[in-house]
Amino acid sequence: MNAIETKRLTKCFRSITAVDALELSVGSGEFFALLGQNGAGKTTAIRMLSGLLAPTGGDAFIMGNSILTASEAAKACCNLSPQETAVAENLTVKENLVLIARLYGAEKAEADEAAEALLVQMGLKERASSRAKTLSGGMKRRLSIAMALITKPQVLFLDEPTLGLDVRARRELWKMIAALKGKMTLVLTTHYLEEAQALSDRIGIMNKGHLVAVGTAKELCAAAGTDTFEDAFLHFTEEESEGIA
Amino acid sequence: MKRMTAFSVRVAKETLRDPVTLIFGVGLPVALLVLMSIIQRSAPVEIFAISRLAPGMAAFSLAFVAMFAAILLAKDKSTSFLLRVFASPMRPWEYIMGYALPMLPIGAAQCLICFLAALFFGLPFSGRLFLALIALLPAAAVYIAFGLLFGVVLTDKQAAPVSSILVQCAALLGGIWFDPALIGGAFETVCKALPFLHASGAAASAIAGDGTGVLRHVLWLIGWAAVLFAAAVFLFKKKMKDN
Repeated sequence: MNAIETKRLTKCFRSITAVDALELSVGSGEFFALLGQNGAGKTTAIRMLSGLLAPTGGDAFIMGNSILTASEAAKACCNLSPQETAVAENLTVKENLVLIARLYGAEKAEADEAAEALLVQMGLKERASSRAKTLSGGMKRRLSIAMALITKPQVLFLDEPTLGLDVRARRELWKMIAALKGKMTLVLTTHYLEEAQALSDRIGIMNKGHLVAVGTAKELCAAAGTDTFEDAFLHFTEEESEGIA
Repeated sequence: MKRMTAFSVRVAKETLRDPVTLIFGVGLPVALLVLMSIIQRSAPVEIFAISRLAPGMAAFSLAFVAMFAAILLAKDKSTSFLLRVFASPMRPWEYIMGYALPMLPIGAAQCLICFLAALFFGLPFSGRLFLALIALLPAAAVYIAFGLLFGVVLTDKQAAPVSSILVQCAALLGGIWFDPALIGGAFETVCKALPFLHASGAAASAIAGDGTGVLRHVLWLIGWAAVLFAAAVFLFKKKMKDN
């Protein structure tokens, strides 16, 4: 079973079609990167898949659960790390983790245990009792991702996780994200092409609401007839072309 | 229920850990009560008699609950925290109650502190004070609903100034500084239609032992709370869909 399966998934905002009949399959345990320019429809697609936006047409299945008819079950098996840092500023690092675990139904003891383990895993143990508002930008982003991980999602959506971070913090976060590979299905949206190239198994490129190309970085370069992945990206986003399998 | 409780605890912690809560929610009403009581000792004025001032200040302190709820909700929206919560399997009523419920004990505590301060300035201690606290619960619900409405509709930068206007309305139209009947006409009619005067009226009637008065004011407040909550829930659900 694929972790994510979309069937002509569409979202219109008045006269604008943000996502147009998206057909996408992401395998279980796969690391999939979704690229595109601003307004290409990446975030809208992620928001529909994570149950934040109701589609205008089509359907999507998360671990076999329809986002239309079994939205609660679909939500329960995925989690999201939003584009902006999303933490409760006046709660401590540990309280933030416990809160999210509890919102997904964990008992207090179970949530505490999971939070302790994640604090160690994410290098946040020393700041466990610090209020989230006192953390640096990089640490906050790390906490934000840890909050998505605490529910042990089968599918994790990472919406531009390194946006606005300095080079060092970005590199650290890359390492952390790379360590998640194979443990769950990961869907990453990013503007950093090298990030997608280095981390993901397959890459999808969106342009004006359409998925215009899917494949490994090498396959995309070959399909575009370019030497570099950046040139391939520019090729696919300049003019729509048929995707490759 | 478990999810709603966890979310309520978070809302309570975030609110109580913000120093603004203590300064404005408790400090300001108590400071005003003390100041007016001292002035009252030197130059007695009927409206500032402690039996009228104490329920007025208790009702006034509840207006800050609207400010707390509005600021927190608006901030959650601006930081994408709400997005994260929306992505969880929580149901809409669980979010709304999660924001609303912790504000009730916070509001009740504010009123209790106002009454305790008033005891030092001659307010007689009696069981009617507890009745006044209960009579103020519908007023708390009105202000919580105002807060949710503001939080849903406004940005984090707009929430505080707009809530301040509500606080001013609670003070000026709530019969705390002057009796609207003194101005009369359309002003008095508007004051009687709005919930602010009924908030202080419910508590004052309870302290005076006027059961009919309590019922009249409380029914009016329940009506306002129902309308405001319905509007807040509608807009909250709309906001969820629009994300």
